Amino acid sequence: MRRLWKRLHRFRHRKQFDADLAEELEFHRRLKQEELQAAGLTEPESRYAAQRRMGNLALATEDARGIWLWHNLETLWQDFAYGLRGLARHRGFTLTAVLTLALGIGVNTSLFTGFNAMVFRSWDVRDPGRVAGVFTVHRTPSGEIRYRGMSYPEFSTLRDQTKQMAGLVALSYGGPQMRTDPGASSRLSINYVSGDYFQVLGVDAAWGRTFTRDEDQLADPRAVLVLSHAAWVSQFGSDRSIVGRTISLNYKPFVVLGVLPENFKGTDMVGPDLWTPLAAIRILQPRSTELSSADQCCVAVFGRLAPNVDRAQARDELTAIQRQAAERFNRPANEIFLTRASIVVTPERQKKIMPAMLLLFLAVSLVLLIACANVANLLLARGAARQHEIGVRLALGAGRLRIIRQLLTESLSLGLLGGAAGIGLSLVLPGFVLNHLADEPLALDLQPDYRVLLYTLFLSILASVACGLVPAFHTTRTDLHATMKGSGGRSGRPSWLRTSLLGAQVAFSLVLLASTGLLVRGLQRAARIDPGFDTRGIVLMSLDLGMLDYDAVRAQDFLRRLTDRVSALPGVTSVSTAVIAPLGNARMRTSVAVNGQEALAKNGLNNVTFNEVSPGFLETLRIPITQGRSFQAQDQGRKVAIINQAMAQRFWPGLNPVGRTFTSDVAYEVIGVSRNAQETQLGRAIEPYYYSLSNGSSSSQLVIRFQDTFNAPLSELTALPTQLDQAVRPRLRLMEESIQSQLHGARMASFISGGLGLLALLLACVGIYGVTAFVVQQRFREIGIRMALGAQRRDVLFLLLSQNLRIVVAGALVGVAASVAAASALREFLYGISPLDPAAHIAMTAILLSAALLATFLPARRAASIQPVVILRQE
Amino acid sequence: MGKKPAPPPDLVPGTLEMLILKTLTHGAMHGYGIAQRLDQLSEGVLQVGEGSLYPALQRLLLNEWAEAEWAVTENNRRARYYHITAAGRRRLAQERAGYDRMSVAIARVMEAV
Repeated sequence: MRRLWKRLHRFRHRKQFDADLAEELEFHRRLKQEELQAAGLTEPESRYAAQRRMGNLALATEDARGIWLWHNLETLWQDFAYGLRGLARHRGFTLTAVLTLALGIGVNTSLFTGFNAMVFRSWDVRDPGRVAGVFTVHRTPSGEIRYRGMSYPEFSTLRDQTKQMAGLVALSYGGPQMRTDPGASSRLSINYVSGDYFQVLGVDAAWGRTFTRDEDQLADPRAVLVLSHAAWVSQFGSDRSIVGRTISLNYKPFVVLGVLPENFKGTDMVGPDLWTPLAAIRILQPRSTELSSADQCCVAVFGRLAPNVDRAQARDELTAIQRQAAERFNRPANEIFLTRASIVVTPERQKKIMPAMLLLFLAVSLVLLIACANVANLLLARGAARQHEIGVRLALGAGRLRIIRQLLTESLSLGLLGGAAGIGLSLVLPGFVLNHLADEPLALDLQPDYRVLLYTLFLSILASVACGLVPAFHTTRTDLHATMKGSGGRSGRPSWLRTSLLGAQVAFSLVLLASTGLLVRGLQRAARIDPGFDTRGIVLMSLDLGMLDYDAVRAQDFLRRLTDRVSALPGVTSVSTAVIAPLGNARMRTSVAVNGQEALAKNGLNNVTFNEVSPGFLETLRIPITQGRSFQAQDQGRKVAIINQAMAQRFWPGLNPVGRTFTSDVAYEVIGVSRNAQETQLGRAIEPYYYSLSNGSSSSQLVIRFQDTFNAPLSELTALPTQLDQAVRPRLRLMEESIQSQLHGARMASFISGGLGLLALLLACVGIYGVTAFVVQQRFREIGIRMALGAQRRDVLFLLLSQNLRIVVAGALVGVAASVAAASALREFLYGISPLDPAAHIAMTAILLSAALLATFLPARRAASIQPVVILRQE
Repeated sequence: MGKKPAPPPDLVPGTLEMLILKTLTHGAMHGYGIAQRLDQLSEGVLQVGEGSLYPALQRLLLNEWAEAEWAVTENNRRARYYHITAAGRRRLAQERAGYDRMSVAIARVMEAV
C-alpha cells in the first residue's frame, strides 16, 4: 500500500523525477569523462569514450524509470490519446459506433435502472440498512412457500414482546377513500399505519408534524392524517396553510397534521395519498374487524433492528414469540422471515416480477449483442482499411501484443463513450416507459445511483472487449509481405467472421421481431375472445356501500330503489347487482364438499370461484342456461346456486347436477347449469364457478345493460345514486373499457418487445449496410474489371445481393428456431396463439428480409454504377 | 509490461542491492562514487554498468531502504547523495545472513569429494 502511494506520488511529480534522473546521469558522465581525461585522453576523445562506456543512456533512464512501473500507465495514457485522436479523425465511423453502443447499453441500463429501483433501492428513510420487512412463512399443502403479513393481534403481541427490534410498526392498505369536502370530490388512497410508523422509520414532516403513538389508541381513535407530497401538490395546490385545517373523508372530518417530504413515497410499490393512524380504521370503516380479529389477514409489518442485533437474532426471537402467540390465537405456528427495505418488499412480489424481468433482460441483452456485432463488424472493416498502417508498424518492430493492446484501448474508448451516452438515455427512457405503460404511478426512484453507474461501466467494458477483441486479433494477423507490397487485406469476399457476425445479428433481431409479431397476434386474438357473455352495451357501476357504513338492510333497500330508477332510464333493458364485477380482475374463492367426491379435496381440486348476484344477473349478461332453470324472484333468501359447466364436469361428471347439493359454508342446492363464461380475467382457463343469491349487504356492483344501439346518457346515470344518498359517489365503467384494461399486460409486453424489435432491426440493417458498403469498396477494382469484360449492371447487383441474401436467410432460419423457443416464455400473453403461428413468423421474416435487401441494395447500386474506365485508369 | 533491467552478468538478482547497501554503510555516496567503490573493493571484478546501477538505486528508494538528497561535492558540484535508512540496515542484515548461509552451503558442496 505504501509502495503504491510512493508510486503515485512519484507519478504526480514525474517531471521533477525525470529532471533529477537526467541530472544525476549527466553528473555521472561528466565524472567519467574527467577520469578519462586525467588518464590522458583529449577532451573530445574522452567525451566520446565516456558516452560509449556509459552504454545506452536512454535505455538506462527508461529502466530506472521502469522501476516505478508508471511506464505502463504512461503508455496506457498514450494509447488512449492516440485512440481518441484516431476516432476524432474518423467522425462518421466513431459516431456510428458510439451511437450503436449507446443504444445497446442504454436499453440495458434503462432496464437495470428500473430493476434497481424496485429490488435494490431502499426506502428513503433513516439508516435503511437497519430496517426490515417482517413476514410469516406459510407452507401450502402442495409444499409451496408463501410469505404473508400477520393479523393485527399477532402483530401487537410481537411488538409488545420483542427486545431485538427497536421498533415494530404495522401498515394496512385502506384502498381508495372518498374525499367529500364541499366542492371537492376525489378518491384518495390511504395507508393506515401504527402511530410510531414515522418515528421508527425516521421520517420527518416537511411541514407540520407526523402523528404519534398517543394518537393511535384503539379505544380513542383520532381523525388525523399526514399528506404525501404528491397529493399535497395535486389535491391542495401546494398550499402550506393546509396544515392544521380539516378535510372530509367519507363525510368524517380529519385534521391535516403535516406534509411529508417529496422523496418519501411510502413503503409500498404504489405511494398512498395520505397516512392515518391504524386506529382511524374504526372511524372510516366502522365494520372492519381488522384490528380485533386474529383470523383477519393481514397487516404488513416493518421494524428497525435494535443496536448491535443482526437479522438472524431478530428473526429467531420473533419466530419464538410468534409460535407462542399462535397457540394462544389458535393459529398455525409460522416462521418469521425478514427482508430488506426495498420498494418491491415482499418476496412474493419479487417472485412474481422475476420471470418477467429475466425475459426483459434477455431481450435487451440481445439488443446489446446485435450492437456489439455491429461495432465488431465496423472495427473489422476499419481494421482491413488500416492493414497498411498496421503492417508498417509491425514491420518497424512493434510487438503484435502491443498493437492489440492499442486497438483494444481504442475500442474501450468507444465503449466508454457509448456507456456515457447510454446513461444519458437511461435518464429519460425508464420514466417515459413507466409513465406511458404503468396502470398507476409507481413510487420508484429512477435517478441513477452508484449501482447503475457501476453496472453501466461493467457493461461498457464488457461490450468493448466483446466487440474489440476479435477484430484486434484478426487485424494484426497480417501478411507483412503482401501489406508492404500494397495489396494486403484486399481479399474480395467478406471473411467468415464478418459473415457469421452478420448472420447472428439477423438471427437475434428476428427473435425480437417474431416475439413482437406473436404478441400482436395474441392481442388481436384476445380482442376477439368470446368471454361467454354479451359485452356490448354493458355499463358497470361501482358503489362501495361498505365504506359508507351501510348495513345489509339499508344496502338492500338502497340497491332496490337505485335499480328501479336506473331501469326507468331510456334505453336500459335490464339491471342487476353482483358482489364481483364481471372481468374485474377480482374473484372470491371457496372450497366445497360434495358427497362422494371427497378425493378431490386431497389435490386441492375442490376449490371453486363464486359470485353473489341478484336474480336477473345471468339474463343481464346473456349467459345461457344449459340445464335446469335460472334464478327467480322467489328464490331470494334460499340457498340455491347455478353452477357453470366446468363445475358440473368436475363434481358430477356425466351426471345431471340439477337437484344435487354441495356445501361451502352452508349447503346449496343446484338449480341450474350455465354455459362457461370468463368471469375473472380474459383468456384464462375456465374455472369451476357458481353463482348464489346475494343478500345485498356487500353487493355494490351494478351491472346495467343498454340497448345494443348504445348511446347512453352517462351523466344522468352518475347522478342517480347521489340523488338517493349524498354520500354515495359511483364510479362508472364501460364493459369494453374493462376488457381493454384486461389486455394491459399484453399490450405493454408487445409495446416493449416491439420497441426493442425495431431497434434490433435498425441496428441489423445498419450492420448489413455497413458491411455491404465495405465489401463494395474493397471489390471496386474487381467489379470494374468484370464490367469492363462485359458484365451488366444487373449481374453486379445480383452478385452482391445473392451473397448477402445467403447470410440473411441462414440467420433468419436460426432466428425462427430461436424465436419459437423464446415464444413459449410469452405464453401468458399469447391468448392461445401458438408459438409456431405462421402469420406472425412469416410477416416478421418478410419485414426482416425486405429491410435486409434494402440495406444491401443501396450500396450495391453504387457498385453497379461504377464506370469501368475510371477503374482501369486507376490501375 | 516494462522490461526488467537485466542483472549484471554473474550477479544473482538482489545481490547488487546488497552490495550497494553495504557500501552505503560507510556514509552517504553518489552514484558515481558507489560504482567506483564497488570497482575498487572488488579489485575490478565487479564492474557495475550504469544500466544496472541506477535502476537498482531506484529500487532501493522505492523500498525505502535508501534515501536520496541533492548536495554539493567537495569540488563544488551538485550531486545526488544516497544514504542508507534503518529499514535498509535491517534489510542488509537479512541479506547478509542469507548470503552467509548460502556461501557456506556452496563451499561445502564444492569441497565435498
